[in-house]
Amino acid sequence: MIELNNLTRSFGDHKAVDNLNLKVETGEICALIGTSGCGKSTTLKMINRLIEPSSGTVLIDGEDIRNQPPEQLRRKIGYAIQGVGLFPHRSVYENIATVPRLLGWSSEKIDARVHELLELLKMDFDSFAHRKPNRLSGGEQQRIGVARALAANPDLMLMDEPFGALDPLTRERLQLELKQIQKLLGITIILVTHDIEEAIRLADRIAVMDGGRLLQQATPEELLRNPREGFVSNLVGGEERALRLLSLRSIGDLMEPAECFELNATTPSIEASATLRDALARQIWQQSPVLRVTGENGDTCGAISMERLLSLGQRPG
Amino acid sequence: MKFQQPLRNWGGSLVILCLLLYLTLGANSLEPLLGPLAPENAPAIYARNSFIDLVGWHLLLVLIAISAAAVIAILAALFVSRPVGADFLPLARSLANLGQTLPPVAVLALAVPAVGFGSWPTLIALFLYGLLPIFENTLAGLGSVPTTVKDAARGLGMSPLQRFWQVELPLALPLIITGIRLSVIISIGTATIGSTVAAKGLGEVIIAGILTDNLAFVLHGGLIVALMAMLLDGLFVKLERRFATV
Ligand SMILES: Nc1ncnc2c1ncn2[C@@H]1O[C@H](COP(=O)(O)OP(=O)(O)O)[C@@H](O)[C@H]1O
Ligand SMILES: [Mg+2]
Repeated sequence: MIELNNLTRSFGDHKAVDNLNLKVETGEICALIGTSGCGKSTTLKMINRLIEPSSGTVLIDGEDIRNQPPEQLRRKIGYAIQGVGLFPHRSVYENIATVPRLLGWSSEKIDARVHELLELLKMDFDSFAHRKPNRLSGGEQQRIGVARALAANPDLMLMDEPFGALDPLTRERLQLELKQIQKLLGITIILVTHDIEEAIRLADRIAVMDGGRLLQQATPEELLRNPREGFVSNLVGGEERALRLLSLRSIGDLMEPAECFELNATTPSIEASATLRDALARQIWQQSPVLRVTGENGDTCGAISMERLLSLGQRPG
Repeated sequence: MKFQQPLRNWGGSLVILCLLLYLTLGANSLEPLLGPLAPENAPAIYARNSFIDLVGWHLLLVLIAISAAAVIAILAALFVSRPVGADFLPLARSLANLGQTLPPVAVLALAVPAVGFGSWPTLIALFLYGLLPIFENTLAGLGSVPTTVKDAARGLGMSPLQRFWQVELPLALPLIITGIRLSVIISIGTATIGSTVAAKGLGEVIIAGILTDNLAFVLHGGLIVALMAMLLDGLFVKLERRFATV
Protein backbone atom coordinates (compact mmCIF):
# COMPACT_ATOMS: atom_id res chain seq x y z
CA MET A 1 0.00 0.00 0.00
CA ILE A 2 1.19 3.49 -0.87
CA GLU A 3 0.23 6.34 1.43
CA LEU A 4 0.78 10.00 0.76
CA ASN A 5 0.28 11.97 3.95
CA ASN A 6 -0.18 15.74 3.96
CA LEU A 7 2.17 15.97 1.03
CA THR A 8 3.10 19.51 0.04
CA ARG A 9 5.67 20.82 -2.39
CA SER A 10 6.29 24.50 -3.05
CA PHE A 11 8.33 26.07 -5.80
CA GLY A 12 9.02 29.54 -4.46
CA ASP A 13 5.66 30.90 -3.29
CA HIS A 14 3.72 28.59 -5.53
CA LYS A 15 2.35 25.39 -4.04
CA ALA A 16 2.57 22.83 -6.85
CA VAL A 17 1.15 20.16 -4.52
CA ASP A 18 -0.92 21.29 -1.58
CA ASN A 19 -1.53 19.05 1.42
CA LEU A 20 -2.33 15.93 -0.58
CA ASN A 21 -3.60 12.78 1.12
CA LEU A 22 -3.93 9.65 -0.95
CA LYS A 23 -3.94 5.89 -0.40
CA VAL A 24 -3.32 3.36 -3.13
CA GLU A 25 -4.00 -0.28 -2.37
CA THR A 26 -1.59 -2.99 -3.43
CA GLY A 27 -2.43 -4.47 -6.82
CA GLU A 28 -4.55 -1.50 -7.90
CA ILE A 29 -4.19 0.97 -10.70
CA CYS A 30 -4.70 4.49 -9.41
CA ALA A 31 -5.05 7.25 -11.99
CA LEU A 32 -4.04 10.78 -11.04
CA ILE A 33 -5.96 13.07 -13.33
CA GLY A 34 -6.20 16.82 -13.75
CA THR A 35 -5.36 19.64 -16.13
CA SER A 36 -1.81 20.44 -17.14
CA GLY A 37 0.18 22.09 -14.35
CA CYS A 38 -2.04 20.87 -11.51
CA GLY A 39 0.82 19.02 -9.82
CA LYS A 40 0.41 15.44 -11.06
CA SER A 41 4.01 14.94 -12.13
CA THR A 42 5.31 16.62 -9.01
CA THR A 43 3.24 14.22 -6.90
CA LEU A 44 4.54 11.23 -8.81
CA LYS A 45 8.15 12.39 -8.56
CA MET A 46 7.86 12.71 -4.80
CA ILE A 47 7.12 8.99 -4.65
CA ASN A 48 10.49 8.02 -6.15
CA ARG A 49 12.29 10.99 -4.62
CA LEU A 50 13.03 12.75 -7.89
CA ILE A 51 11.53 15.67 -6.01
CA GLU A 52 11.67 15.99 -2.23
CA PRO A 53 8.48 17.20 -0.55
CA SER A 54 8.44 20.52 1.31
CA SER A 55 6.44 18.73 3.98
CA GLY A 56 4.51 15.50 4.46
CA THR A 57 5.50 11.88 4.07
CA VAL A 58 5.25 9.02 1.61
CA LEU A 59 4.93 5.50 3.00
CA ILE A 60 5.32 2.35 0.94
CA ASP A 61 3.98 -0.67 2.81
CA GLY A 62 4.16 1.38 5.97
CA GLU A 63 7.79 2.37 5.56
CA ASP A 64 8.87 5.95 5.07
CA ILE A 65 10.68 6.24 1.73
CA ARG A 66 13.21 8.61 3.27
CA ASN A 67 14.69 5.63 5.09
CA GLN A 68 16.28 4.47 1.83
CA PRO A 69 18.89 6.14 -0.36
CA PRO A 70 17.07 7.59 -3.40
CA GLU A 71 18.94 5.48 -5.97
CA GLN A 72 18.16 2.26 -4.16
CA LEU A 73 14.49 3.24 -3.86
CA ARG A 74 14.22 4.13 -7.56
CA ARG A 75 15.67 0.79 -8.67
CA LYS A 76 12.79 -0.91 -6.88
CA ILE A 77 10.12 1.27 -8.45
CA GLY A 78 9.31 1.08 -12.16
CA TYR A 79 9.26 4.46 -13.89
CA ALA A 80 7.83 5.22 -17.33
CA ILE A 81 7.35 8.71 -18.72
CA GLN A 82 5.67 10.41 -21.62
CA GLY A 83 8.80 11.23 -23.56
CA VAL A 84 9.86 7.60 -22.94
CA GLY A 85 13.47 8.75 -22.66
CA LEU A 86 15.01 5.57 -24.05
CA PHE A 87 18.79 5.82 -24.16
CA PRO A 88 19.43 6.60 -27.84
CA HIS A 89 22.95 5.15 -27.83
CA ARG A 90 21.84 1.82 -26.42
CA SER A 91 20.00 -1.04 -28.06
CA VAL A 92 16.54 -2.18 -27.02
CA TYR A 93 18.22 -5.02 -25.14
CA GLU A 94 20.55 -2.72 -23.21
CA ASN A 95 17.75 -0.27 -22.48
CA ILE A 96 15.64 -3.01 -20.93
CA ALA A 97 18.65 -4.33 -19.03
CA THR A 98 19.37 -0.96 -17.39
CA VAL A 99 17.99 -1.56 -13.90
CA PRO A 100 18.96 -5.26 -13.68
CA ARG A 101 22.52 -4.19 -14.49
CA LEU A 102 22.43 -1.49 -11.85
CA LEU A 103 21.28 -4.19 -9.44
CA GLY A 104 24.15 -6.45 -10.46
CA TRP A 105 22.15 -9.34 -11.92
CA SER A 106 24.10 -12.07 -13.69
CA SER A 107 24.13 -11.87 -17.47
CA GLU A 108 22.18 -15.15 -17.78
CA LYS A 109 19.45 -13.82 -15.55
CA ILE A 110 19.33 -10.54 -17.48
CA ASP A 111 19.20 -12.38 -20.78
CA ALA A 112 16.31 -14.53 -19.63
CA ARG A 113 14.46 -11.49 -18.33
CA VAL A 114 14.84 -9.50 -21.55
CA HIS A 115 13.52 -12.48 -23.54
CA GLU A 116 10.60 -12.81 -21.16
CA LEU A 117 9.67 -9.14 -21.30
CA LEU A 118 9.82 -8.88 -25.07
CA GLU A 119 7.58 -11.91 -25.24
CA LEU A 120 5.19 -10.36 -22.74
CA LEU A 121 4.99 -7.26 -24.93
CA LYS A 122 4.56 -9.36 -28.06
CA MET A 123 7.78 -8.19 -29.67
CA ASP A 124 10.02 -10.60 -31.51
CA PHE A 125 13.42 -10.88 -29.81
CA ASP A 126 15.44 -11.42 -32.97
CA SER A 127 14.00 -8.48 -34.84
CA PHE A 128 13.91 -5.98 -31.98
CA ALA A 129 16.51 -6.72 -29.32
CA HIS A 130 19.47 -5.23 -31.15
CA ARG A 131 17.79 -2.21 -32.69
CA LYS A 132 18.55 1.30 -31.55
CA PRO A 133 15.51 3.28 -30.32
CA ASN A 134 15.52 5.58 -33.35
CA ARG A 135 14.57 2.58 -35.47
CA LEU A 136 11.37 1.94 -33.51
CA SER A 137 7.90 3.39 -34.07
CA GLY A 138 6.32 5.55 -31.37
CA GLY A 139 4.25 2.66 -30.05
CA GLU A 140 7.24 0.31 -30.00
CA GLN A 141 9.27 2.87 -28.08
CA GLN A 142 6.48 3.15 -25.51
CA ARG A 143 6.41 -0.62 -25.15
CA ILE A 144 10.16 -0.74 -24.59
CA GLY A 145 9.78 2.09 -22.08
CA VAL A 146 7.28 -0.06 -20.20
CA ALA A 147 9.52 -3.13 -20.50
CA ARG A 148 12.45 -1.16 -19.10
CA ALA A 149 10.31 -0.01 -16.19
CA LEU A 150 9.19 -3.60 -15.51
CA ALA A 151 12.62 -5.16 -15.92
CA ALA A 152 13.57 -5.66 -12.28
CA ASN A 153 10.14 -6.98 -11.22
CA PRO A 154 9.02 -3.89 -9.34
CA ASP A 155 5.97 -4.13 -7.12
CA LEU A 156 5.14 -0.53 -7.89
CA MET A 157 5.15 1.29 -11.21
CA LEU A 158 4.92 5.03 -11.68
CA MET A 159 3.75 6.07 -15.13
CA ASP A 160 3.64 9.70 -16.21
CA GLU A 161 1.37 10.09 -19.24
CA PRO A 162 2.98 7.04 -20.79
CA PHE A 163 0.70 6.91 -23.82
CA GLY A 164 0.40 10.64 -24.36
CA ALA A 165 2.01 10.95 -27.76
CA LEU A 166 0.36 8.01 -29.51
CA ASP A 167 -2.40 7.77 -32.07
CA PRO A 168 -5.75 6.71 -30.54
CA LEU A 169 -5.66 3.13 -31.87
CA THR A 170 -2.15 2.36 -30.65
CA ARG A 171 -2.92 4.05 -27.36
CA GLU A 172 -5.99 1.92 -26.78
CA ARG A 173 -4.10 -1.26 -27.64
CA LEU A 174 -1.26 -0.42 -25.27
CA GLN A 175 -3.74 0.46 -22.53
CA LEU A 176 -5.36 -2.93 -22.84
CA GLU A 177 -1.98 -4.66 -22.84
CA LEU A 178 -0.92 -2.72 -19.78
CA LYS A 179 -4.07 -3.68 -17.95
CA GLN A 180 -3.51 -7.37 -18.80
CA ILE A 181 0.11 -7.24 -17.71
CA GLN A 182 -0.80 -5.48 -14.50
CA LYS A 183 -3.42 -8.12 -13.66
CA LEU A 184 -0.99 -10.88 -14.57
CA LEU A 185 1.84 -9.57 -12.43
CA GLY A 186 -0.32 -8.14 -9.67
CA ILE A 187 1.67 -4.92 -9.50
CA THR A 188 0.48 -1.57 -8.20
CA ILE A 189 0.44 1.25 -10.71
CA ILE A 190 0.11 4.97 -10.17
CA LEU A 191 -0.67 6.48 -13.53
CA VAL A 192 -0.71 10.17 -14.37
CA THR A 193 -3.03 11.21 -17.18
CA HIS A 194 -5.08 14.14 -18.36
CA ASP A 195 -7.38 11.89 -20.35
CA ILE A 196 -10.56 10.86 -18.50
CA GLU A 197 -11.23 8.05 -20.97
CA GLU A 198 -7.83 6.58 -20.20
CA ALA A 199 -8.43 6.88 -16.48
CA ILE A 200 -11.83 5.18 -16.74
CA ARG A 201 -10.51 2.44 -18.98
CA LEU A 202 -7.52 1.58 -16.82
CA ALA A 203 -7.96 2.63 -13.25
CA ASP A 204 -9.47 0.90 -10.25
CA ARG A 205 -9.52 4.27 -8.53
CA ILE A 206 -9.29 7.76 -9.91
CA ALA A 207 -7.87 10.70 -7.98
CA VAL A 208 -8.85 14.08 -9.41
CA MET A 209 -6.46 16.96 -8.77
CA ASP A 210 -6.79 20.65 -9.38
CA GLY A 211 -4.41 23.43 -8.40
CA GLY A 212 -2.24 21.05 -6.37
CA ARG A 213 -5.16 19.76 -4.30
CA LEU A 214 -6.97 16.45 -4.34
CA LEU A 215 -10.63 17.10 -5.13
CA GLN A 216 -12.04 13.58 -5.13
CA GLN A 217 -10.84 10.02 -5.05
CA ALA A 218 -13.27 7.31 -6.12
CA THR A 219 -13.80 4.28 -8.31
CA PRO A 220 -14.61 5.16 -11.93
CA GLU A 221 -18.25 4.24 -11.34
CA GLU A 222 -18.60 6.38 -8.23
CA LEU A 223 -16.87 9.25 -9.95
CA LEU A 224 -19.27 9.08 -12.88
CA ARG A 225 -22.35 8.69 -10.70
CA ASN A 226 -21.51 11.20 -8.00
CA PRO A 227 -18.87 13.63 -9.17
CA ARG A 228 -18.27 16.57 -6.91
CA GLU A 229 -19.82 19.76 -8.19
CA GLY A 230 -17.60 21.97 -10.28
CA PHE A 231 -14.28 20.78 -11.61
CA VAL A 232 -14.86 17.06 -11.21
CA SER A 233 -18.29 17.02 -12.78
CA ASN A 234 -17.00 19.08 -15.70
CA LEU A 235 -14.14 16.64 -16.07
CA VAL A 236 -16.31 13.53 -16.22
CA GLY A 237 -18.50 15.25 -18.78
CA GLY A 238 -22.17 16.15 -18.87
CA GLU A 239 -24.24 13.96 -21.11
CA GLU A 240 -21.36 11.76 -22.13
CA ARG A 241 -21.27 10.37 -18.62
CA ALA A 242 -24.13 8.08 -19.63
CA LEU A 243 -22.01 6.35 -22.26
CA ARG A 244 -18.96 6.29 -20.01
CA LEU A 245 -20.99 4.62 -17.29
CA LEU A 246 -22.21 2.00 -19.72
CA SER A 247 -18.64 1.35 -20.85
CA LEU A 248 -17.64 0.40 -17.30
CA ARG A 249 -19.83 -2.68 -17.01
CA SER A 250 -19.93 -5.93 -18.86
CA ILE A 251 -23.16 -7.34 -20.23
CA GLY A 252 -22.76 -10.62 -18.39
CA ASP A 253 -23.31 -8.95 -15.02
CA LEU A 254 -26.54 -7.19 -15.95
CA MET A 255 -28.27 -9.23 -18.62
CA GLU A 256 -31.82 -10.51 -18.34
CA PRO A 257 -33.04 -14.09 -18.72
CA ALA A 258 -33.41 -15.09 -22.36
CA GLU A 259 -36.94 -16.40 -21.70
CA CYS A 260 -38.28 -12.87 -21.11
CA PHE A 261 -37.93 -12.08 -24.79
CA GLU A 262 -38.98 -13.64 -28.03
CA LEU A 263 -35.56 -14.32 -29.54
CA ASN A 264 -35.41 -15.81 -33.00
CA ALA A 265 -32.74 -16.78 -35.52
CA THR A 266 -32.41 -13.22 -36.84
CA THR A 267 -31.86 -11.57 -33.44
CA PRO A 268 -28.31 -10.15 -33.43
CA SER A 269 -26.05 -11.50 -30.69
CA ILE A 270 -23.20 -10.15 -28.57
CA GLU A 271 -20.68 -11.78 -26.22
CA ALA A 272 -21.31 -11.58 -22.48
CA SER A 273 -17.85 -10.11 -21.95
CA ALA A 274 -18.58 -7.00 -24.05
CA THR A 275 -19.56 -3.75 -22.33
CA LEU A 276 -23.02 -2.26 -22.08
CA ARG A 277 -21.81 0.53 -24.36
CA ASP A 278 -20.94 -2.02 -27.03
CA ALA A 279 -24.43 -3.52 -26.64
CA LEU A 280 -26.15 -0.16 -27.11
CA ALA A 281 -24.01 0.60 -30.15
CA ARG A 282 -24.95 -2.73 -31.70
CA GLN A 283 -28.65 -2.23 -30.99
CA ILE A 284 -28.59 1.14 -32.71
CA TRP A 285 -26.54 -0.13 -35.64
CA GLN A 286 -28.62 -3.26 -36.18
CA GLN A 287 -31.92 -1.51 -35.37
CA SER A 288 -32.73 -4.21 -32.88
CA PRO A 289 -34.16 -3.36 -29.44
CA VAL A 290 -33.03 -6.73 -28.04
CA LEU A 291 -29.76 -8.64 -28.34
CA ARG A 292 -29.05 -12.28 -27.69
CA VAL A 293 -26.15 -12.64 -25.21
CA THR A 294 -23.74 -15.50 -25.84
CA GLY A 295 -21.25 -17.11 -23.51
CA GLU A 296 -17.71 -18.16 -24.31
CA ASN A 297 -18.87 -21.35 -26.03
CA GLY A 298 -21.32 -19.44 -28.20
CA ASP A 299 -24.47 -20.68 -26.45
CA THR A 300 -27.22 -18.25 -25.59
CA CYS A 301 -27.02 -17.35 -21.92
CA GLY A 302 -29.31 -14.35 -21.71
CA ALA A 303 -30.60 -11.26 -23.43
CA ILE A 304 -30.25 -7.51 -23.08
CA SER A 305 -32.84 -4.94 -24.04
CA MET A 306 -32.42 -1.32 -24.99
CA GLU A 307 -34.93 -0.38 -22.33
CA ARG A 308 -32.68 -1.83 -19.67
CA LEU A 309 -29.60 -0.12 -21.06
CA LEU A 310 -31.37 3.22 -21.08
CA SER A 311 -32.31 2.86 -17.44
CA LEU A 312 -28.79 1.75 -16.45
CA GLY A 313 -27.25 4.81 -18.07
CA GLN A 314 -29.72 7.20 -16.46
CA ARG A 315 -28.75 10.22 -14.48
CA PRO A 316 -28.79 9.26 -10.81
CA GLY A 317 -31.38 10.65 -8.43
CA MET B 1 27.77 11.50 -47.93
CA LYS B 2 30.31 9.44 -49.82
CA PHE B 3 30.28 11.75 -52.81
CA GLN B 4 29.87 14.98 -50.91
CA GLN B 5 32.97 14.57 -48.78
CA PRO B 6 35.41 12.39 -50.71
CA LEU B 7 38.40 13.74 -48.76
CA ARG B 8 36.89 12.55 -45.47
CA ASN B 9 36.52 8.92 -46.49
CA TRP B 10 39.15 6.26 -46.07
CA GLY B 11 40.05 6.44 -49.76
CA GLY B 12 40.52 10.20 -49.56
CA SER B 13 42.57 9.93 -46.39
CA LEU B 14 44.80 7.33 -48.02
CA VAL B 15 45.44 9.58 -51.03
CA ILE B 16 46.24 12.51 -48.74
CA LEU B 17 48.56 10.33 -46.67
CA CYS B 18 50.45 9.15 -49.75
CA LEU B 19 50.86 12.73 -50.98
CA LEU B 20 52.05 13.76 -47.54
CA LEU B 21 54.61 10.96 -47.40
CA TYR B 22 55.81 11.84 -50.86
CA LEU B 23 56.25 15.54 -50.01
CA THR B 24 58.19 14.71 -46.85
CA LEU B 25 60.13 11.48 -47.42
CA GLY B 26 60.58 12.04 -51.12
CA ALA B 27 61.30 15.76 -50.83
CA ASN B 28 64.55 15.57 -52.81
CA SER B 29 62.90 14.07 -55.85
CA LEU B 30 60.70 17.20 -56.05
CA GLU B 31 63.69 19.31 -57.06
CA PRO B 32 62.91 19.41 -60.80
CA LEU B 33 59.29 20.32 -60.08
CA LEU B 34 59.96 23.11 -57.58
CA GLY B 35 63.24 24.30 -59.11
CA PRO B 36 61.65 26.88 -61.43
CA LEU B 37 59.99 28.54 -58.41
CA ALA B 38 63.24 29.09 -56.54
CA PRO B 39 65.43 32.17 -57.24
CA GLU B 40 68.63 31.59 -59.24
CA ASN B 41 71.34 29.72 -57.47
CA ALA B 42 69.07 29.10 -54.46
CA PRO B 43 68.11 25.57 -53.38
CA ALA B 44 64.57 24.48 -54.26
CA ILE B 45 64.35 22.11 -51.29
CA TYR B 46 64.71 23.27 -47.70
CA ALA B 47 67.55 21.35 -46.12
CA ARG B 48 68.29 22.77 -42.65
CA ASN B 49 66.08 20.13 -41.03
CA SER B 50 64.62 16.97 -42.49
CA PHE B 51 60.95 17.29 -43.40
CA ILE B 52 60.00 14.28 -41.40
CA ASP B 53 61.48 15.88 -38.28
CA LEU B 54 59.65 19.12 -39.00
CA VAL B 55 56.34 17.29 -39.41
CA GLY B 56 57.04 15.46 -36.16
CA TRP B 57 57.78 18.64 -34.26
CA HIS B 58 54.81 20.39 -35.74
CA LEU B 59 52.42 17.62 -34.77
CA LEU B 60 53.95 17.31 -31.33
CA LEU B 61 53.37 20.99 -30.61
CA VAL B 62 49.75 20.69 -31.70
CA LEU B 63 49.27 17.45 -29.80
CA ILE B 64 50.60 18.84 -26.53
CA ALA B 65 48.79 22.17 -26.76
CA ILE B 66 45.43 20.72 -27.80
CA SER B 67 45.58 17.86 -25.28
CA ALA B 68 46.06 20.40 -22.52
CA ALA B 69 43.34 22.64 -23.97
CA ALA B 70 40.97 19.66 -24.26
CA VAL B 71 41.47 18.59 -20.65
CA ILE B 72 40.95 22.10 -19.32
CA ALA B 73 38.08 23.01 -21.64
CA ILE B 74 36.18 19.75 -21.08
CA LEU B 75 36.59 19.92 -17.30
CA ALA B 76 35.52 23.57 -17.30
CA ALA B 77 32.46 22.79 -19.44
CA LEU B 78 31.55 19.87 -17.17
CA PHE B 79 31.86 22.05 -14.12
CA VAL B 80 29.73 24.90 -15.40
CA SER B 81 27.08 22.49 -16.68
CA ARG B 82 26.53 21.05 -13.17
CA PRO B 83 24.20 22.92 -10.82
CA VAL B 84 27.10 23.86 -8.50
CA GLY B 85 29.08 25.48 -11.31
CA ALA B 86 26.25 27.15 -13.19
CA ASP B 87 27.15 30.56 -11.75
CA PHE B 88 30.58 30.35 -13.36
CA LEU B 89 29.29 29.87 -16.90
CA PRO B 90 29.58 33.54 -17.95
CA LEU B 91 33.07 33.80 -16.47
CA ALA B 92 34.33 30.62 -18.13
CA ARG B 93 32.78 31.69 -21.40
CA SER B 94 34.48 35.07 -21.43
CA LEU B 95 37.83 33.54 -20.53
CA ALA B 96 37.56 31.06 -23.37
CA ASN B 97 36.51 33.87 -25.70
CA LEU B 98 39.45 35.97 -24.61
CA GLY B 99 41.85 33.21 -25.68
CA GLN B 100 40.23 33.26 -29.08
CA THR B 101 40.14 37.03 -29.59
CA LEU B 102 43.79 37.69 -28.76
CA PRO B 103 45.65 37.38 -32.06
CA PRO B 104 48.19 34.52 -31.84
CA VAL B 105 50.93 36.91 -32.92
CA ALA B 106 50.15 39.11 -29.95
CA VAL B 107 50.25 36.09 -27.64
CA LEU B 108 53.69 35.19 -29.02
CA ALA B 109 54.92 38.75 -28.54
CA LEU B 110 53.66 38.78 -24.97
CA ALA B 111 54.92 35.32 -24.15
CA VAL B 112 58.49 35.68 -25.37
CA PRO B 113 59.57 38.12 -22.63
CA ALA B 114 58.00 35.83 -20.07
CA VAL B 115 59.13 32.38 -21.19
CA GLY B 116 61.81 33.13 -23.79
CA PHE B 117 62.23 31.92 -27.37
CA GLY B 118 61.53 28.34 -28.38
CA SER B 119 58.44 26.17 -28.22
CA TRP B 120 56.79 27.61 -25.13
CA PRO B 121 55.29 30.78 -26.64
CA THR B 122 53.74 28.70 -29.43
CA LEU B 123 52.38 26.13 -27.01
CA ILE B 124 50.74 28.90 -25.01
CA ALA B 125 49.22 30.51 -28.09
CA LEU B 126 47.90 27.21 -29.42
CA PHE B 127 46.55 26.27 -26.02
CA LEU B 128 44.65 29.54 -25.62
CA TYR B 129 43.40 29.36 -29.16
CA GLY B 130 42.22 25.79 -28.77
CA LEU B 131 40.12 26.30 -25.65
CA LEU B 132 37.02 27.96 -27.08
CA PRO B 133 35.88 25.44 -29.71
CA ILE B 134 36.28 22.54 -27.28
CA PHE B 135 34.61 24.38 -24.42
CA GLU B 136 31.63 25.51 -26.48
CA ASN B 137 31.17 22.15 -28.18
CA THR B 138 31.34 20.24 -24.92
CA LEU B 139 28.67 22.54 -23.50
CA ALA B 140 26.57 22.10 -26.63
CA GLY B 141 27.05 18.33 -26.46
CA LEU B 142 26.00 18.07 -22.83
CA GLY B 143 23.11 20.44 -23.53
CA SER B 144 21.94 18.30 -26.43
CA VAL B 145 21.13 15.34 -24.18
CA PRO B 146 17.31 15.32 -24.10
CA THR B 147 15.71 16.15 -20.75
CA THR B 148 13.54 13.03 -20.97
CA VAL B 149 16.67 10.88 -21.28
CA LYS B 150 18.28 12.54 -18.27
CA ASP B 151 15.04 12.23 -16.27
CA ALA B 152 14.75 8.58 -17.20
CA ALA B 153 18.34 7.90 -16.14
CA ARG B 154 17.67 9.52 -12.78
CA GLY B 155 14.28 7.88 -12.36
CA LEU B 156 15.70 4.42 -13.05
CA GLY B 157 18.14 4.84 -10.21
CA MET B 158 21.47 5.69 -11.83
CA SER B 159 23.88 7.52 -9.54
CA PRO B 160 25.24 10.89 -10.68
CA LEU B 161 28.49 9.26 -11.82
CA GLN B 162 26.68 6.49 -13.66
CA ARG B 163 24.48 9.06 -15.38
CA PHE B 164 27.54 10.99 -16.45
CA TRP B 165 29.64 8.08 -17.75
CA GLN B 166 26.86 5.95 -19.16
CA VAL B 167 24.46 8.54 -20.54
CA GLU B 168 25.63 12.13 -20.75
CA LEU B 169 29.20 11.62 -21.91
CA PRO B 170 28.48 9.05 -24.65
CA LEU B 171 25.72 11.25 -26.02
CA ALA B 172 27.86 14.40 -25.90
CA LEU B 173 30.95 12.71 -27.32
CA PRO B 174 30.41 13.32 -31.05
CA LEU B 175 30.11 17.07 -30.46
CA ILE B 176 33.11 17.09 -28.12
CA ILE B 177 35.16 15.39 -30.83
CA THR B 178 33.97 18.02 -33.32
CA GLY B 179 35.31 20.69 -30.96
CA ILE B 180 38.67 18.94 -30.72
CA ARG B 181 38.78 18.58 -34.49
CA LEU B 182 38.20 22.31 -34.99
CA SER B 183 40.92 23.17 -32.49
CA VAL B 184 43.38 20.78 -34.08
CA ILE B 185 42.75 22.14 -37.58
CA ILE B 186 43.09 25.73 -36.41
CA SER B 187 46.31 25.07 -34.55
CA ILE B 188 47.96 23.12 -37.37
CA GLY B 189 47.80 26.36 -39.35
CA THR B 190 48.49 28.67 -36.43
CA ALA B 191 51.56 26.70 -35.35
CA THR B 192 53.42 27.87 -38.47
CA ILE B 193 53.80 31.40 -37.09
CA GLY B 194 55.49 29.91 -34.02
CA SER B 195 58.62 29.61 -36.10
CA THR B 196 59.01 33.39 -35.91
CA VAL B 197 59.97 32.88 -32.29
CA ALA B 198 62.06 29.79 -32.94
CA ALA B 199 59.55 26.99 -32.40
CA LYS B 200 60.49 24.02 -34.54
CA GLY B 201 57.95 23.11 -37.18
CA LEU B 202 56.98 23.56 -40.78
CA GLY B 203 56.66 27.28 -40.23
CA GLU B 204 60.41 27.59 -40.55
CA VAL B 205 60.29 26.38 -44.15
CA ILE B 206 57.61 28.87 -45.04
CA ILE B 207 59.26 31.73 -43.19
CA ALA B 208 62.66 30.97 -44.71
CA GLY B 209 60.91 31.07 -48.09
CA ILE B 210 59.36 34.43 -47.37
CA LEU B 211 62.64 35.91 -46.11
CA THR B 212 64.61 34.78 -49.17
CA ASP B 213 61.86 35.24 -51.74
CA ASN B 214 61.91 31.49 -52.33
CA LEU B 215 58.46 30.50 -53.60
CA ALA B 216 59.51 26.86 -53.73
CA PHE B 217 59.96 26.78 -49.94
CA VAL B 218 56.67 28.57 -49.30
CA LEU B 219 54.75 26.25 -51.56
CA HIS B 220 56.39 23.09 -50.27
CA GLY B 221 55.89 23.98 -46.60
CA GLY B 222 52.40 25.28 -47.17
CA LEU B 223 51.31 22.14 -49.01
CA ILE B 224 52.54 19.87 -46.24
CA VAL B 225 50.70 21.92 -43.61
CA ALA B 226 47.51 21.89 -45.64
CA LEU B 227 47.70 18.13 -46.22
CA MET B 228 48.28 17.49 -42.51
CA ALA B 229 45.21 19.53 -41.68
CA MET B 230 43.12 17.66 -44.25
CA LEU B 231 44.32 14.27 -43.07
CA LEU B 232 43.54 15.00 -39.43
CA ASP B 233 40.19 16.51 -40.35
CA GLY B 234 39.26 13.29 -42.15
CA LEU B 235 40.41 11.09 -39.27
CA PHE B 236 38.47 13.10 -36.70
CA VAL B 237 35.34 13.07 -38.83
CA LYS B 238 35.56 9.27 -38.90
CA LEU B 239 35.91 9.26 -35.14
CA GLU B 240 32.82 11.45 -34.81
CA ARG B 241 30.84 9.08 -37.00
CA ARG B 242 32.08 6.14 -35.01
CA PHE B 243 30.61 7.63 -31.83
CA ALA B 244 27.46 9.08 -33.39
CA THR B 245 24.36 7.59 -31.79
CA VAL B 246 22.04 7.70 -34.78
N1 LIG C 1 11.30 22.24 -10.94
C1 LIG C 1 10.31 23.13 -10.89
N2 LIG C 1 10.57 24.44 -10.58
C2 LIG C 1 9.58 25.35 -10.52
N3 LIG C 1 8.29 25.09 -10.75
C3 LIG C 1 7.95 23.83 -11.05
C4 LIG C 1 8.94 22.79 -11.15
N4 LIG C 1 8.32 21.63 -11.48
C5 LIG C 1 7.00 21.94 -11.59
N5 LIG C 1 6.78 23.25 -11.33
C6 LIG C 1 5.47 23.93 -11.33
O1 LIG C 1 4.59 23.19 -10.52
C7 LIG C 1 3.32 23.10 -11.10
C8 LIG C 1 2.91 21.65 -11.26
O2 LIG C 1 3.75 21.03 -12.24
P1 LIG C 1 3.58 19.51 -12.65
O3 LIG C 1 3.55 18.67 -11.45
O4 LIG C 1 4.64 19.21 -13.65
O5 LIG C 1 2.16 19.55 -13.36
P2 LIG C 1 1.41 18.42 -14.20
O6 LIG C 1 2.27 17.21 -14.27
O7 LIG C 1 0.13 18.20 -13.51
O8 LIG C 1 1.18 19.01 -15.56
C9 LIG C 1 3.39 23.86 -12.40
O9 LIG C 1 2.85 25.15 -12.18
C10 LIG C 1 4.84 23.94 -12.70
O10 LIG C 1 5.15 25.12 -13.40
MG1 LIG D 1 3.21 16.36 -15.98
